Amino acid sequence: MDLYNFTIKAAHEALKSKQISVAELVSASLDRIKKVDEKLHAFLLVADKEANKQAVAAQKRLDEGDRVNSLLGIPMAHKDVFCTRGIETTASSNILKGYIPPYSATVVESLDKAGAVSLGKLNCDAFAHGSSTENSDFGPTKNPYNTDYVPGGSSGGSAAAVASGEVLFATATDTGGSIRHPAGFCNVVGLKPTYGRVSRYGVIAMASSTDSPGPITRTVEDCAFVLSAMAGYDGKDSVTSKQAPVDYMEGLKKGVKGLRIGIPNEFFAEGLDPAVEKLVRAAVLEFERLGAKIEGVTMPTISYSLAAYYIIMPSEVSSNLARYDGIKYGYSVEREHPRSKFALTDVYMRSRGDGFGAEAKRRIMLGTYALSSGYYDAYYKKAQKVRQLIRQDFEKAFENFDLLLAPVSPTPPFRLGEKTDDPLSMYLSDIYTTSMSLAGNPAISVPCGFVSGLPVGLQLVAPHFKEDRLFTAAYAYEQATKFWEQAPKI
Amino acid sequence: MAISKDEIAKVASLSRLELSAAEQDKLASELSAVVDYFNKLNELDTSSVNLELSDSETTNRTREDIMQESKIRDRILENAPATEDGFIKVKSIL
Repeated sequence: MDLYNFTIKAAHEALKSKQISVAELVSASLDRIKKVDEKLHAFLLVADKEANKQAVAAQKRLDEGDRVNSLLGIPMAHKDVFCTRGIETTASSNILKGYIPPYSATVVESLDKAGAVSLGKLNCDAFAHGSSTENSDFGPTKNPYNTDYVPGGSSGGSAAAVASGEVLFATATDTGGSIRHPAGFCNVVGLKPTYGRVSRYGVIAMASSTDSPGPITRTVEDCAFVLSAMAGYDGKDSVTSKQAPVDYMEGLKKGVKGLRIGIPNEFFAEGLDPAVEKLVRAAVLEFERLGAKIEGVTMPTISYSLAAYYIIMPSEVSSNLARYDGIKYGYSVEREHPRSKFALTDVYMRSRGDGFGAEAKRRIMLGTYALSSGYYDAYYKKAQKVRQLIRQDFEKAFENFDLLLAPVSPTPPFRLGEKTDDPLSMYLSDIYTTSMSLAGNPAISVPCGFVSGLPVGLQLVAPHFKEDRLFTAAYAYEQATKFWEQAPKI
Repeated sequence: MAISKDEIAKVASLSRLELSAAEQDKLASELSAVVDYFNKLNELDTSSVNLELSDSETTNRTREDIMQESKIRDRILENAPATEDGFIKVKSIL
């Protein structure tokens, strides 16, 4: 088996037993990137010199006896919204082209400490705005299973890089579905942790009340390894939970006998592609075969979550993107026209008008509109009240169920260019993922089959801070179906 | 409910975005469609919903106000388009 196809688990065992060295593992990934990234465009930046330095340090730690850490020496990459000190970070936007962060995100530092070897920065929709990675200012990423199709978004680069074997895991962020959606489209595992489980410090902000950094991996066990390194309280992100993370490996393999799983009726209504529904219903039968108890559940407000999300999220985006003003960093007309006669507002307006892509502008405008005087009550305040109702729907559901099961995306992967003319049709991709984001609940996407060779994901949702329950259920399903073994032919 | 060109211009000004006439036209129709979709929320009765902060949200996390050297001033200034004597230079405000 090629080294780049290893899981983290297998690579860790091989490194521990000295069958392979970190240098060999990293070299295999860098070669893989050289071979396939021209077709995929998952990477925006490959930092091989840095990577080789980290590889040497990791090998030293291994040689000195550091055996406990499962991520030591493992090749990975970061979605380009994670600030990496000294390494260009752009959020896939022209407005940050050339920006060199003077600090690293907490997640980056945690994974560095764990000894993971970062190979570079991964493509995404600019500022994480999108569901297909077509909104990247630097070109879209392609789906490794068929390069005429999108990898999903916004973390398309992260999902494609893991699916194609360029890295053994990647970091990503999920604000309304951006980890789960591309994971589903690329036949990999993607976890949106509970809001507040993983620090957002140093992550380029999109919607501060839902942004959740998380891992994308080949397998569920690998996902648990990575979450263990990412989770925890951080003084620099005041919403992180002081509740210590549990041991995600304990109980991973205990199975789902007696587990009560609810299927929200509202998610199996109009809009769900029949081919996707068929695979999700087959997954339900599989869970029953494994011993879980499955029943329908009504969650009356979740059908409104997309509308609420597309008011709340752009409102927060309009605030978070106000800092890109051509003054402190990023694209600036001051650089383009030094000593110009521009007034201060001209610097703002022209820098932002030139630097931002179309989708960023769309969302800033939507948010500013929704928050403006005369509309604030009708839109923003209304949406926040609906959000409370959505939270209550989840709380009520979890009184009778241990987990919820749902599709990830209403359709299988779509073609590049298929939804780019109609923003609203692109927004509808998020119909099954936004409610968990608004309520803060953790959710995982795990492979559940293929439609005409294109991957489909299955979503499981848990109560707050019960990621271990997600891993246990997803693991049982994954081991029974083994869809992850069907690698792309690229 | 269509968003008028005047409203688009006003929102663009609030957002500090310079938009071409073509961009403004496109945004007027795109945003109108999205805002129409928002009206779905009027189907819900939210009159009993209280937007009070939860118990866990009512206390701020604070720390002692102690100055620390960041040691990264030069790296911060490297990213700025215009600097002078260790400051970021901006157009006059008054």
